[in-house]
Amino acid sequence: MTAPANPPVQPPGPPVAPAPPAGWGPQPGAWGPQPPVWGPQPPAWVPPPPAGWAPPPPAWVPPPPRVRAWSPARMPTFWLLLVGLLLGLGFTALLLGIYVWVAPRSAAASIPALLAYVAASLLLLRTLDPVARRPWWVATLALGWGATVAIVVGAGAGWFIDNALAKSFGAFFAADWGAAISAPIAEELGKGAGVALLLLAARPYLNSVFAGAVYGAVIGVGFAGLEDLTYVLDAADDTLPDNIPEAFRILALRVVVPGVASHPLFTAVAGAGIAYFAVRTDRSRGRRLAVLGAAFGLAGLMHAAVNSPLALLASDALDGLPGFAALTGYFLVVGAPAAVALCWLAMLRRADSHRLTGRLADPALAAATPEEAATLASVRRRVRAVRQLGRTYGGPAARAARRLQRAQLRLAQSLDELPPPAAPVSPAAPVSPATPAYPVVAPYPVETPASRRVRRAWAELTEARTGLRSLTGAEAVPPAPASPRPLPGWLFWTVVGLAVAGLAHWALVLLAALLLAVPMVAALRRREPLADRLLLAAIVTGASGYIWLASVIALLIFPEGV
Amino acid sequence: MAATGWKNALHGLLIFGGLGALVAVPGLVSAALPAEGPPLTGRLDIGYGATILPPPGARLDLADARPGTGDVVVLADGARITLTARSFRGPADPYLAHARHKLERDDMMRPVAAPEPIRTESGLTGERASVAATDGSADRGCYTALTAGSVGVVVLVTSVPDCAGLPPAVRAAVESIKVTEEAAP
Repeated sequence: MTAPANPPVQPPGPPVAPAPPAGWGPQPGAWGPQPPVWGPQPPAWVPPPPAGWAPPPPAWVPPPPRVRAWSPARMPTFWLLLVGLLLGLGFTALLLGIYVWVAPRSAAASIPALLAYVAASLLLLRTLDPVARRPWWVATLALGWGATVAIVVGAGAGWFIDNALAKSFGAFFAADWGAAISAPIAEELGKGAGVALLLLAARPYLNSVFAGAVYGAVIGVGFAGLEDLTYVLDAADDTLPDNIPEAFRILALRVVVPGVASHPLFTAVAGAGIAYFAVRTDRSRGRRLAVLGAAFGLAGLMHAAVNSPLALLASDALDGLPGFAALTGYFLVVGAPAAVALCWLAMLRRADSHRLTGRLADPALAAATPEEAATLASVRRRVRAVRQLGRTYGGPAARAARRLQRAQLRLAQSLDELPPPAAPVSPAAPVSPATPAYPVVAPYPVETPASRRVRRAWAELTEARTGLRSLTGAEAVPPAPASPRPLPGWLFWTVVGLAVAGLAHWALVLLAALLLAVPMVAALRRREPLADRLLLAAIVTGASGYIWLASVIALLIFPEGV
Repeated sequence: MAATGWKNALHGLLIFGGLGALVAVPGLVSAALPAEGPPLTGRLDIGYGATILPPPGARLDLADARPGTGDVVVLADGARITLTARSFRGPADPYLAHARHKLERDDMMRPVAAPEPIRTESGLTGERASVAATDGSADRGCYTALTAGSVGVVVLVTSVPDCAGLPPAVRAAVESIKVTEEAAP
């Protein structure tokens, strides 16, 4: 064995401080007394290494920036919500089990009917929602909250409040006003809590006031479905065993008579108020609190109107007058606050549409021209633009334009739901319809389902543009043509006047409908969408006609009186 | 609302705590208030057109009585009188049979003998039977079901040994039930 040759002596290398990666800053004072120097520095002189010297392996490798995809699983409230839902489900299952045990045939007959009603309500909501596809799991949580926890809280708190009212003001007062006072408090707070918890558990999906209204409405649908089922099965066992006809009578009454003034509308308004408080951080706290209070007040007022004896008193009062429908008074009392709520929700919906689609026209994103964005914001303008294109270039071009619009809307929605990667519900930057919460163009540093949706939407958009260009030679859908020919003023006011006067006699509503039918049929024959005034006149006539229809149905199923 | 981590948990817990308070606070307030109303005077509206002349000095059980809605509970002479009025369709016999079934299923009271037919001075017809608890407790009482047209009234008097042992004032009150056919409450 020979002694190993002495290895070359390596001089100690120059002291090297770990360089922070781009974007990372040292803590002040962490690396010695000298303050850190930012920006480019002149290269320091380093003596040339002797022959045979190899640089030592780096002692410390800076880790890559910690970037995590947002996930509801990291939101403690998500798990709290799940636990609450499981507990609520247990109570609800017990309650339903008892009802089904006492009236099994009525349950078997009415549950499918109620499920169909719930499905139809959700479908209607989806149609009215400018963002057509909300995440299924958030919608399921909302529906579940309404059908379980909100029911349990509403029933428990409502019973105690009603008792406290009876003991404070007497049993006669509670018999008349108990439901009008206790139900709005207990049930609206119980349902509204669901929207607040969803905001904490799934914040990226509730980043507009209208999103709060949508999820509030879904909670209301779940609540109404289960509440109706308990009323229906209670009626089925009330006077005769497992009485299916009675169950269906109550079901029809509960669906037809409140009309739109029902739990979905109440909770949509409350949910919009909660979302306004949480999302519109560009507004002062006082203003947000005021909107929150006003929204809950309006939701409670609508609920109280439905439950109060005033609605029935008004109904009796007008029913005594010749000409009026049996339920005119009821619908006037119930419908007045509901009309205010619907107007507010329509405004929120419009604002949300503009917020979503306006982002597409951002020059940095360039996913739509400003004209396209303006067209996308309105369903009717979208339809008009597609029809116009179809008339010029034919059906395939119209279908391509529709595909492009769908891709643009999907991209707008995906971008809207793209959470900030590292801080899931980051200290929210002020959000307003004009300024998006999150950067829309920044490269997303981590692969998540949300970022994959954005990429897919981009791919669809590119493909749709190519398709449109091959058919029309243009990449963009031309702006919607001007509004279709408007309804003449005299005709509009005549129809509206007749519809309002029709509350006093059905023949006037019929006359209004006939007058309205002429321009509507003409528009349909010209394949034109309805003008704004025509649509408004149709809504007023429809509301007046609905009162008559509901009155007739109610009298048919309860000839002895509702 | 835009909280993360422990703040998110805290906000969530606060909301659940608020829901608990929404139930608990009215419950505590209700428990602290007296459960009996002032003495009743005059005819009492049960609901569905049915009325009763309560025994002298009778009071409403404020927790369960909602006059005019069809559900009334009156406390008199140490007895608890539960009155339930409903409008029904069809003949009276199925209604009476179902009322008896619900008595056993929901109130856990069973007639100790076959019900006897009765007829009040105001023309209501129906049946009456002494009842005993089915759950082994010592509760006993008197059950009466009356109908007039399409309106039925079920009366369950508890804290009495049987129908024969009804205090005279309570018996008179049950006999005083009248029905004037009218629409739902």
